[in-house]
Amino acid sequence: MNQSNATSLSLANMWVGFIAFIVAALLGLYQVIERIDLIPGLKSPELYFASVSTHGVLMAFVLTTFLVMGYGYATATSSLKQDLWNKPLSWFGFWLSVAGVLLAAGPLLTGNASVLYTFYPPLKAHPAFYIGATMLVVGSWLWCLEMVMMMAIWKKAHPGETVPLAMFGTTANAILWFFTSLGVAAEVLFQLIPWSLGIIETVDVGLARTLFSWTLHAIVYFWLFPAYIALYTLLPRAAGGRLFSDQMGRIAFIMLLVFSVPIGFHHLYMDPFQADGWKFLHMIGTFMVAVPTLITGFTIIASLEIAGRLRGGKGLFGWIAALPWGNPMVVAAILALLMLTFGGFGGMINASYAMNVMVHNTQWITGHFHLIFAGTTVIMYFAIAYYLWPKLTGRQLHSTSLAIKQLWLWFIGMLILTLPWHQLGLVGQPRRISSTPYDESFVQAWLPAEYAMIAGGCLLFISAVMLIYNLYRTHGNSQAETNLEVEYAEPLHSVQRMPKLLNGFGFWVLLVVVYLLASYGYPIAQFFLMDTYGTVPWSI
Amino acid sequence: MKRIIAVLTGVVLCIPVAWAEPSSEVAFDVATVKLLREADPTRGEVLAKEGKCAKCHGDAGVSDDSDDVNIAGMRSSYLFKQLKDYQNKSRDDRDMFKKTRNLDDQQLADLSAWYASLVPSQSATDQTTDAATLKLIFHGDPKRLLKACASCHGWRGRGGQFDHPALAGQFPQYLIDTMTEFKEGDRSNDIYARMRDVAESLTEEEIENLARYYGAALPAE
Amino acid sequence: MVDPLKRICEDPLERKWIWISFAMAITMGVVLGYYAVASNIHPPSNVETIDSSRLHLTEEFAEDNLGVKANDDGSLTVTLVAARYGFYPPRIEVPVDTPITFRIASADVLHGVHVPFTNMATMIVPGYVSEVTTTFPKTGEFSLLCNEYCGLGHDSMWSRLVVTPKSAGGESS
Repeated sequence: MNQSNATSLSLANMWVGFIAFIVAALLGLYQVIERIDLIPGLKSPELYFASVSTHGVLMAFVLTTFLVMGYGYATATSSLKQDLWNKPLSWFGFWLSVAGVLLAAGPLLTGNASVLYTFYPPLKAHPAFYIGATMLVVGSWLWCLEMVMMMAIWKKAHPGETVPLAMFGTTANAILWFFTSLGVAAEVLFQLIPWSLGIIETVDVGLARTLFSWTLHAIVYFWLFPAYIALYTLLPRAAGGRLFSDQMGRIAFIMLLVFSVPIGFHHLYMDPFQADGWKFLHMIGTFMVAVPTLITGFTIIASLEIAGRLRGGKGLFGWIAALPWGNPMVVAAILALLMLTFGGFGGMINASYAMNVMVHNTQWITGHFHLIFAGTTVIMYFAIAYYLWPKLTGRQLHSTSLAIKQLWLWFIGMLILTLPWHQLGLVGQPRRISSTPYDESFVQAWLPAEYAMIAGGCLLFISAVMLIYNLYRTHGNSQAETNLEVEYAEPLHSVQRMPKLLNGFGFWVLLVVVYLLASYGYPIAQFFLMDTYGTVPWSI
Repeated sequence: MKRIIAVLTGVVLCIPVAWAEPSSEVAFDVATVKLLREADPTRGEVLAKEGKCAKCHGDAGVSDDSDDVNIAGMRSSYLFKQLKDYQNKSRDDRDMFKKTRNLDDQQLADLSAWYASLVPSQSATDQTTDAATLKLIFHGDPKRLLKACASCHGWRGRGGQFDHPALAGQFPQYLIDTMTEFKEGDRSNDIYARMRDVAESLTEEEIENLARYYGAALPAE
Repeated sequence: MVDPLKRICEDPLERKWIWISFAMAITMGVVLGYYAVASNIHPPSNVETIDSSRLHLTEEFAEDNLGVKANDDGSLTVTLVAARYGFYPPRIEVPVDTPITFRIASADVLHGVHVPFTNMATMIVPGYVSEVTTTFPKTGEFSLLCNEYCGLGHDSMWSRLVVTPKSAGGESS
C-alpha cells in the first residue's frame, strides 16, 4: 500500500473480526448438532441459548464492526493516498471496542447474557453486557469520525475533484452507521443500562423495541456496504475489466444511505404498539431500498460482462466462462450475487406488510438472514481479506487455490444450511428453539430439513477453518508480495465533473434527518404521550 | 339484630365478588417486587422463631420428618405468594391461615426473605430414572399438551422467576399430596390453572415417579 | 419525451433497468396498499396498553374471562394469556369460517404466537394488548406455537387450537 500508515490498524481490526468469526462458527456447529438431540448428553437449553447469544453477538456485532473498520481504514488511506487524520484516536477507538467485546464476553460465556443478539427486554442480562456493547459502538463512532474527517480533509486539499468512489462509499457507510446506531444507543443508554443496574424499576418494552428497530434494519446495510464497495471498486479490475458506471455506484450508495435508516418497522410489523399506518410508511421505504440493490446488481454484472468480453468471451453467456475463475475476488463476487438473488427475494417477502405474518419469527427468517448476511455479505468479507492480506502483510497469500475451494465450500454449505430453513419456516417451525418438543407430526416432517441443516453447518465450519488457516499462514509466507498497491477499478466513462450532490453528503444528511424524524418522530413520541406500563427485569 | 342484618348484607354483597375471585390476589407488580427486594431476612428469622415455624419446616427450613414441607432456599417471591394466599384463603390450610392471619405484608416479605436465604434441602430418597419419567421431565408429552416439567421448574429443579417453585429436594409425599390437590381442584391458587391443568393430565403413577425423582438429592449449584 | 434519468445515467439499457426496478418496488407497494385498503388486510396493530404484572386481576384477562366467547354479530372473541411457558387456556375450540378476534396479553415477558398453516400470528408484548382478527377456512387440529425467545423454556411453549365444522348454532365454547 502507498500509505502504510494504516496497515497495522487495518490488520488489527480485521483479525479481531475473524477471531470472533471462528469462535462463532464453532458455536454454530454445536447449535445445529444439539438441536435435534443427536447427542442427548449435550441437551441443555442453558448452554444452547448462551451459545446462540454469543454466536449472534460475535457474528452480527463483532465480526462486522471490526471488518468494516479495518477495511475502512485501508480504503481511506489507499484510495485517497492520504495519511490517517488522527491515528491515536483510531487506535483508541479500536481498543475501546475490543475492551467492550471482552467486557460483554464475560456474561455471555457464563450464561448471564443469554438474551440473544437482539437483547429484547424484559429479559435482562448482566449490566456488563450492555456496557460492553456500548463501548463497542462508541469505539466504532470514532471510526466514523475518522472517515468523515479524512474525506473532508481530502476535499479541501483537492477542490473541485471527484472523491474516489471507494471513499465515497466508505464515508456514506460511516454516516449511515452513526445515524442508525443512535436508536440502539438510546435504548441501551436510557433504558437498558439504568434498568439492569436497578436505577430505574421498569422498562417500556414497546419503546425499547421501537428504538431497536431504528437500528435493526440499517445495521445490515452497515454490514453490506463493504461488500458493495468491493464489488464496485475492486472487483471490476480484479476481473480484468472496467466499472460500468461510477455515477450509478454513487447513486446506489446515496439511496442506501437515505432509504435504509428510517424503515425499521418492517421488524415491528407483528407488534401491537405501532399503528399500521406507520408500518405502511416504512414498508414503502423498504421497497425503495431494494432499488439501489437492483441497480448494483445491474452495474456489477455489466462490469463483469465487460471483463468477460475483454478476455475473449463470446455469445450471450460465453463471457461468464471467460472470467478469471481462479481469482478469489471474482469467485466470491459471483457467488455473492447468486446468494443475493435468493436472499433478496426472501427479503421482499419479509417486507410485504401483512404477508410478513406468514414468515415472522419462523425459521424462514433464520434462513433469510443467514443467506443474505452470512452468505452474500460475509463471502465478500472473505474476498476483501484475500485481496488485502498480501498488501497489508507484504507477503503473498498462502494459497490461492485453497481460497477458491474455501469460497465454493462456503457457498455450497450456505445453500444447504439456509434453503431448508426457508422451507421449515413455511411449514411453521418457530425460531430460537433449542429442541422440538411438539406434536410428532411436526417433528417428523421437520427432520429431513434438520439433517440438512447439520450437513450445511459442518461444511461451513470446515470452510471457516480453511479461511483462518489461509490468512494465518500468509503472515509467515516466505514469498513477498511485490504489488502493494490497492488497484481500484477505472470507470468505463471517466467523469469530468461530478455533480456536487454525488460528491458530498451535506444535502443527503439533511434528508436523512428529515426522513428519520418523519418516520420515527411520532412513533417514539407516542410512548411519552400515553400511559404505558413498564416491565420489571426477568431472568431467562 | 342490627349485627345480623349487617352480616347478612355483607355476605350478600360478597357473593358477586366471590364468584369472580381471582385464584390469587398476589401480583408481582413494581410495588411487590420492591417490597421483596427490600425485605429483611434478619427480621424474618425473628418472626420465624416467634411463629414456631420450625415445628413443621425445621430449624433451617429443612425438616427431618418426611411428612413435612421443606422451604429452605425457595425464592422469596414464591414463599411470599403462598403466605399471602394462605392469608387471603386463596390457598386453603387452617394452620397456615392461623399463622399468617395477623402478619402484615412487610412481615410476610421478611419471613420469605429469611427462608430464601437458607441452604436448600439436600435430603436424599429413592430416585427413579426410568425413561418415561425422564421424558416427561425434559421433553413433556405433546399428546396431552404436557410441557417438560423442567421448562418452568428449571433444568435442575430449582424453579423459575416469581412463582415457579423449586421442586428439587422436596419431600416426595408433599409433592404427591400437592399434585393430587391440584388434580382434584382442592388447591387452586395457581394463576390461570397452570398446575391444575398439568395435574389433571398426569396419572397417579406418573405423579409418584415424578415426586420420587424430584425428591432425590439433586446437586446444589 | 426525454428520459429524466438521462442526466444521471448514460446507458440506455441501465436506464430501462432502473425504471423496471422502480416499477417493481412501486407495484408491490400499490398491490399491498390496495389489499390493505380494500380488504382490510393489515399486520396486527392495536395500540392499547395494559399492566401485564397485574393481568389476572384485570377484568378482561381474569381467569374466568379467558377462552372463547360469542359476540353479538356472530363473530367470536378468543381471550388468551401468554405466560411462561404456555398459552392459557391451553385448549381452544372454534368453528370454521367464522370471524375470530384474538385478544392476547402477556403476563410476563415478550412472546410471539403463530398457528402454522394459518395466518394467525402476532407478537405479544408486555404492557400492550395484541388483537388479531382472522377466519379459519379449514377444520382440523392446529397448534399455537410461541415463536419469540422468552426464556429457557421457550421450546415447550405451545397450545392447541381445534377448528370444528360449523354446528347448527354456528358457535361452540
